[in-house]
Amino acid sequence: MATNGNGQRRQSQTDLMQQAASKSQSSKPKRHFRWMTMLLFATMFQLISMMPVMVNAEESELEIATVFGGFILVEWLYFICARAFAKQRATELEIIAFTLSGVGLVTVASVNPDYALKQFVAILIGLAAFIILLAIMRNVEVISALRIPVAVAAVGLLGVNLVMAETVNGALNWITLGSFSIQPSELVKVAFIFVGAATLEKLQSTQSLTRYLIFSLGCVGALFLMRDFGTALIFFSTFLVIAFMRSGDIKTIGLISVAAVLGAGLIIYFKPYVASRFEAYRHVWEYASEGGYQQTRVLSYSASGGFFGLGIGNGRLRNVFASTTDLIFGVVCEEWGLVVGFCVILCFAFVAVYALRLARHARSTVYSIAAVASAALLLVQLSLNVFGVTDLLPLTGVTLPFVSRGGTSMICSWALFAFIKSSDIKTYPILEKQMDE
Amino acid sequence: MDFEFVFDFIESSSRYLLAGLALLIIGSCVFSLVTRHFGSRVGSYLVETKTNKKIPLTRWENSIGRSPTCDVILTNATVSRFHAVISKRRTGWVVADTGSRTGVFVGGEKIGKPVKLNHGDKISFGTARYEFFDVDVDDLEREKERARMRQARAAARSPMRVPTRAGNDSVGFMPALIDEASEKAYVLGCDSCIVGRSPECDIKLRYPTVASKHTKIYKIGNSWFIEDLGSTTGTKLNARTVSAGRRRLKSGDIISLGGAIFVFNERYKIRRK
Repeated sequence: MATNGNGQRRQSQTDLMQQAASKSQSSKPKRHFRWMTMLLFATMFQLISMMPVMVNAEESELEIATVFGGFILVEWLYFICARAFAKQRATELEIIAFTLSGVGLVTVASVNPDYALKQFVAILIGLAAFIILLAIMRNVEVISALRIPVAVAAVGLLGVNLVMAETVNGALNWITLGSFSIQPSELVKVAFIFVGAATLEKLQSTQSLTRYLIFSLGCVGALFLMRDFGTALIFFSTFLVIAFMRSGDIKTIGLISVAAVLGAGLIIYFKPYVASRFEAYRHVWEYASEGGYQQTRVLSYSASGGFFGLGIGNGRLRNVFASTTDLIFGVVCEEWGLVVGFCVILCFAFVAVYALRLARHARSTVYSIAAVASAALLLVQLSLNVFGVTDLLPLTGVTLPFVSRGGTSMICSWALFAFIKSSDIKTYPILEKQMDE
Repeated sequence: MDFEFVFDFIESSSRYLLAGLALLIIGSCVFSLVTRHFGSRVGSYLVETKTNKKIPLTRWENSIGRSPTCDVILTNATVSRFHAVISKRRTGWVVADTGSRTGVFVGGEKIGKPVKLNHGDKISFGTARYEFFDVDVDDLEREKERARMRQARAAARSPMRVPTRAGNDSVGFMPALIDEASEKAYVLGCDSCIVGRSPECDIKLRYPTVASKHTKIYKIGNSWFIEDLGSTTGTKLNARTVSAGRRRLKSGDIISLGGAIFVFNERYKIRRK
């Protein structure tokens, strides 16, 4: 016993000396993200893009000026408060989110000034959701406790949606409450990832997947009944990512995928109206004035924009139906230029890379799953939107995250960014400090 | 009128400015995200009983198994592909069997439900045997160790009476080695001192691990240096072995002579009696 005690002491002494050595080594300065510089650049970008919209808006100039001013004010307030009260330094994700939201807000306001205020309110609610989720995600115990209520609320919301919804553009996914219309499936996206990530109890066992599988089937099934196939596909791919990360079991996931493909095939076979919605896919030029109207316009108008665009307000795609929602990528390419369009895509691609790196270093599996699933969802949604309007995939009518007009979509995008940000230990300086000790 | 010119210029160049700014903003944000450095904290570790190999557990949930997707990959044939998960709860560390074929044993007993792990518990996955250590408990020990070290350093700074022939009571500074454990100070009275167990040495240390002529500490100009004299147990300066040649010494440096720890103090305060 005595020798053992000595041995332990010897070991802790060497540890101590190693610490002394590492302290002298790690004296090189840390590189911080220059959030203030980036914020100034982002504000410059926004001011330059807002100018032509303000000049062109004749009657509603005051309203638009208020909205734009409010947006920039909120942006600065957020960053200053985040630095002062929450000691945030690594705010790259917020810069990206505000830049993209700004692009969306300006485009939407330039097409129809009446949309501006609603879009601004959506950004505000999105930002609030972002902050609240960051606070919730801080504590794993809170996440576990909220899992079941959130799942129940999500299923309830989809049920209410099925009963109450009105058909808009061939899909049943809108609930109208007074002067607001909300799209519950967007909110359920957030719940879907939240429930999927909160799996502390039974990791890596196939049985633990069963309950989540039932929940997912419920969600995807409800979306199919609503005929919102784009969102159903987004849910399904997110489900695959979460299922893999929870169980690590490729075989089961392969089986599920095969079953899903067969199921989709059966639905298309027995319900021909589903297939007829995608009739124009790969044949848009043959149906150029019918089913392929939007895609052909996106293709030719965004090509005419070139690298640097025609200037905000000078495009022609803005007059096509759904130009501020589904086709907004085309509008951005035409008026802002291909460079800005590509920047939008690059954002999500690299945020996904970041999420993958985060997953390997996150403190808990909850965060790994939340980050990767959110990034995957955003990436799938972006692909469905961008490739849909350019006829590489069927046009399913999903929104471009952060940019498209739509309140619930904006809130969902901010919430998903909160999941990614919460996985980074730098978001919680107190926890990071504990780690360093 | 002048303003119109500025306005026109901005209007005509705004397309390029927008593209450039977008590239700049998105580019630097994305670059910063992708190149971010993540630290990781070792929360606990497993030590393989047979080989004494240390396996750090860096996450809150660590999957253990033979599959390459596990956090801890064990090659033992009796370990299942997904064998167990060791996870951190608010109450402490817990191990759960995730449907393994050969079972998880804590303290020799097969577990059914998740079981709490304590510092030093013996844990087996199939026939692969490990010991579990919680870093936080280790930290407690280390904190005690650090407190002792602080004390030793404080003692090194405090004056000590050294008998000298002169009767004056003036205060002076001398370089010294302070034993970390006993806080005893060995004053370096000459500009080149041999340290060792042998009676010929300038500084005689009666420690079993110290060689008869272990190391040499000497002064060149105003700086002190340390040099190993080919001892078998070795000399370490701040945990790094002093192999060949001399190394510079500074106050507060930690010197290990075959495991005996000393703190070097260049200006050790002594009071002459």
